[in-house]
Amino acid sequence: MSSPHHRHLLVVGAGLAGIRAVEGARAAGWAGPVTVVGDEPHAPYDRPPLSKAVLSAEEPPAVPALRSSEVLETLQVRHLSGVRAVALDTERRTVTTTAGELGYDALVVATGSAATTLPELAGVRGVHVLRSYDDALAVREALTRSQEVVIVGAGFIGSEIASAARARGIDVTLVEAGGRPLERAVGTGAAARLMQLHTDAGVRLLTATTVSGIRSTDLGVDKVELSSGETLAADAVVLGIGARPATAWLRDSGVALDPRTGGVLCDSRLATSAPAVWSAGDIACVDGVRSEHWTAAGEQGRVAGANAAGAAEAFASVPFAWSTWHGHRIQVVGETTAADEEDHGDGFVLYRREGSAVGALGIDSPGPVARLRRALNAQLAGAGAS
Amino acid sequence: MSAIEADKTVCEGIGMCEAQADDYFQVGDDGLVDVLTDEVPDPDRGYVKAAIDSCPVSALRLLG
Repeated sequence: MSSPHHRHLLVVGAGLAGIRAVEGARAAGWAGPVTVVGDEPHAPYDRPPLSKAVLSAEEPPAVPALRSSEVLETLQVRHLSGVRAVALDTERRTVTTTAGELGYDALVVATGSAATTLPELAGVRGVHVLRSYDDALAVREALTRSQEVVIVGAGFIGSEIASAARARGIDVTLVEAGGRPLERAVGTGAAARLMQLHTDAGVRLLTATTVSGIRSTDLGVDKVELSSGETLAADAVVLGIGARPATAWLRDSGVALDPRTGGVLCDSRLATSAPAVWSAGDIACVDGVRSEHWTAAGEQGRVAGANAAGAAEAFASVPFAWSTWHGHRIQVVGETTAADEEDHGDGFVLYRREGSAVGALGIDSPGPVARLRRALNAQLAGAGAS
Repeated sequence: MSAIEADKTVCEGIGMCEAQADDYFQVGDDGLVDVLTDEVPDPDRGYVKAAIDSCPVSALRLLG
């Protein structure tokens, strides 16, 4: 049995959840060596700026580092970049990677998700997704030399890319399969307000429409064919149609996955079905619920790391997401899908269930959103304590 | 003892700081961070530092 000072914590995934796992473990007293494995060539970085600042014409692009090198040094973490995990053996407690085998005493899996693509568009030049920093650089490059852009999917990512493109004066068509942007997340009335932000900014928004085909030349994408029968000229196409958990490497590991989403099944302490294995971030399906929010990834990472180091914390958090569309600040807090009543104020939609506020959508309303978030957090803390 | 410095020109009112250390940070009605107590005694340094590091737009600094 190795001493506490030699026990090895392995974290697979160098995004927010992975780095927070290291911080959570160190804060909980993990004294042994810590290794973080990431499949990208960059230092651990943050994703929210990828679809915002990194696309902006006003600033030169830079890797949005999650932590300074001094902080990473203090954490005493070995970061293996450009290394991908390919298999996990929970009996031998080893992870096979593209750089060889790594043993562990405790393991946190936080491999995040991969952008969904359309098979018929695979390999066509000028068709992009936006998940990694390198993706963001490619989208940025495409925006600098495009006059007409088609963006598929009017969720947060697609809408942020549409904003960046409009800010550059590009003709933007936003193609959304659903009725209204984010309708399933915020309801019909609130989605109508979000839709208005796009149309006011000069984005052509086509709802209940899908891409049926694409025509390309030697130079890349040329035209996009839509389910409506319309054909659009396009210098570039960007897909923002969701993401799937990157868990294929766990398939034969014995770590139980959710058959529907491929997420890693874990309990409220983020423990998986395998001994000494915790999970966090986009891939974690916590008591049946998978969250793809930045705030949840960070908190889950911290809790998973702490528990890997011997703590017994439960993950609980008020859902929160933010976005900027055409200079308007959008914030979503709490539960916005299971309300029985909606109160529509000026730039603020309050969701109630059985008379109690459970969530809100704010458009340029950070004050009321912050107050509600405070109240919901206090309720959650109270419920946890009782 | 350390001191908190907030750059309101950078703050976007996302409120990660408040979610983690609400005795030090609060997003005001203008949507920007208010530092409630700008001096951090050593026992609180760890969690205040974590809250500062979690700011997605790097609007906060801990001095000293």
